[in-house]
Order: sequence, then C-alpha cells, then structure tokens
Amino acid sequence: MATAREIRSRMKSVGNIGKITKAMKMVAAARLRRAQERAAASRPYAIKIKEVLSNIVSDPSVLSGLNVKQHPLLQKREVKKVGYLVIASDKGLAGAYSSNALKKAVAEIAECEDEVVVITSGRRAKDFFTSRGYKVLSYHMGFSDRPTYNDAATIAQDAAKKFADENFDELRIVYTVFKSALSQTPTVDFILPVEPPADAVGKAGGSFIFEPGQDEALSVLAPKYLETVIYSALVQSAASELGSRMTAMSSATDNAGKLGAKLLLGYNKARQAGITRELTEICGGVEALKQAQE
Amino acid sequence: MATPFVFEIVTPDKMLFEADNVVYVGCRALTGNLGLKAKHLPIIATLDVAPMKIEFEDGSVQKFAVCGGFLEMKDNKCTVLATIAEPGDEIDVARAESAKTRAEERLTARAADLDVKRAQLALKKALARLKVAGTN
Repeated sequence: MATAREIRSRMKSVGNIGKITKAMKMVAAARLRRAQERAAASRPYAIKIKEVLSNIVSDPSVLSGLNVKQHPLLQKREVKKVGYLVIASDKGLAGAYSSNALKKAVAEIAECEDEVVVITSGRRAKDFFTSRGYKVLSYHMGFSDRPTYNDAATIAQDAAKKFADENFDELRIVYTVFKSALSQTPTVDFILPVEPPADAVGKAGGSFIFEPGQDEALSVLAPKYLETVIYSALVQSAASELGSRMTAMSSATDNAGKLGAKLLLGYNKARQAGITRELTEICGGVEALKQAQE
Repeated sequence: MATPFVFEIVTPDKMLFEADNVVYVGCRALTGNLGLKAKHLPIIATLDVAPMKIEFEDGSVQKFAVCGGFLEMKDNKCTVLATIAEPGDEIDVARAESAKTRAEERLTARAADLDVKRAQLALKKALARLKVAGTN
C-alpha cells in the first residue's frame, strides 16, 4: 500500500497531465474546424480540374495524337515498379492516426507483386519506412497538420520528376479520408499516370477547341491536376490527424480525471488508515501503561 | 436579347463566384483576347494574367483580376479554374500599387541576378489588379 505522500504526488502529476491533454484537445479542436473548412473549400477546384482533364483525355483523338515526350505525366508504361506516396503525421499523440495509415500502406505494399518504392510525407512515415528497410525515394515533412498549396506543389514536382525519370511506372497515394472527428478511413488512390475515369472512356465529351493548343493546355493541366490531387489528400489527412488527435486527447483527459478520482479515493483511505493506526497505537500505549502501573 | 448561361470561378481555396445570368465573358487567353457568349462551342483556353469582364443579363458588369488558369466552356456552362482570382472590390490597391513600383524598379535597374520573368509576371499581376480595381 502506497503511503499518502506518494499518492499525493501522483495525484498532482496526473492532474497536470490532464491539464496538458485538455489544452492539446482544445488546440486540436480549434484547428480541426479550420482544417475541415479548408478540406471542404478545396474540393470544388479538385473536382472541376478532374472534370476538365478527363474531358480532354476521354476524347480518343487527343490521346492518340499525343506526344509522350512532352507530357510525361500521361505516359503509360509497362508497370515494373510501383511508387507509393504515403501521408502520415509529423507528431504523435494522435491516437492510431499514423499507425492506421502506415498499416494500410504496408498491407497494400505486401499485396503488390512489383517492386515498390516509397515517397513519404510526415516524419512518422519517414521513420517507419526507413527503419523497416523500404526503399524511400524522398521524404517531405514539417507541415502535416497545416499543409499549404506550396507543400503540395513541392511534393507534386518531386513525384512528377521521379515518374518522368522512370523511378516508378505507377504512383499510388495512401492518405486518410476525413469523415468525422470520430471516423477517418485510410484510403489508396491511383494518381499517375493520369487516366480518364472508367465511365468517361468512349463517351467523347465533344471535341474541344483548344486555345492556344492542346499541348499547351495539357502541359499545364496535367501537373496542376497532380498538385491538386496531392493537395486535397494533404488537407484531408491534416483534418484526419487533428480529428484523431482531438478524440485521443479528449479520452486521455477523461482517463486522467478518472484516475485522479481513483487516486483521491486511495489517498483518503490511506489517510484514514493512518489515523486509525495512530489511534490504535495510542490506545494500545495507554492500555500498556495502565497495566504497568497496576 | 442575349441568352444567359452559367458561369463560375473556382480557385484552389474556394468557389469564388457563381452566377446563372451571365451573357458575356471577356478575358485574355495566351493567344489573345477571347469573348464568349452563350452556345459557344466547347472550348478550353489557357488564361493569361489579365482582367476578366463579366456582363450580366441586366446589363451590369463585374470585373475580376485573374492570374493564370483555365477557362472551360461546354454545354452553356463556363468554368474558370483560376490560380489566383480576386473580384474588384477585394483588391488591395495600395499593395498592388507598391508591387507595381517595385517590379518596375527591378526591371529598370536590371540587376545581374534579376529574374526577369518573375519581375514581369509581378508587374503584370499588379497592372491587372489595378485595372480591375480602378474601373470598378
């Protein structure tokens, strides 16, 4: 049985931890709202650019006359190496957020029969893959909970260059879709080479007039599309991270409160036991003195 | 009477503008000025850094400063995917003014390490903004 003093010092530290986790929860909650708004706000652009691009590539005459050298992102090769862009967090204390995303990536990679290379975003992802001996082509970090469009552009340029240099023949992205603060789903999407959506193939979206030309339009649209896709994955993941951190910290605060109550009970018991013991000792002493006098 | 059509401007951070009573869109593509009315053939244009003018059914006009992007028109629906776009009343004139002076100074001074294209682009952006703000 711990002494009252030991229990008191534990109570104090548990209380402090509770305060910290509560502060972290409130910070995450405030930032989550903003991240959610950003995730929602970036969606129309992502949808539109996808629409425009698939309108172009679903027109068979466009793809057949395409100069592959000029548009490396649209180039289809035989798949020998698969690249994975894995997005996880920089910091911990976000529940199972990073570990879920990484688990999903590992499961995907295990199923993949081709050679696999990895590009990571977030310190956790980098540490995870390097320490397990995966081939990490490059890593990006320092922005996992507040990604900007520039961060996405940096990753996109890096990925596009590696794709053009044939470091991999296909790129998939592993990120976490934000559903609510309580529910986030790790997801895998194909992003390179750019392909028309299955339902758009053959349905030529009407031949477009290109101003100035098809090549110019595609050479700007394709990289922009990649950036947008990565950006929307990053903001989704950021919202997921903050949501996950909020829930994790909220349950940590609850647990600290419960533990505190339990410790208080133990402390009172120990205190009471101490008093009782002292009383019996005094009574015993008095009794002994009486007997000695007789 | 001109037929109205649906028009929207989308930027990476938000849906900037939406309307279904637009009758004319005037903008500058990389190859030159472009005017669109309802029932235009499907077109995809790469936009220059320039003001964009929109005319509504009731004759009113609104202007935007658009800094690069795309315009798609299809089935009487015109979508502008702008990298940066600002409506006239949201433009910070003082900032655009100082950006203009700065860019001009850099272009006239011609330092050895000057990124000419970047300076020119900055000047273009500032001019487009000022033009839009000035006439609004």
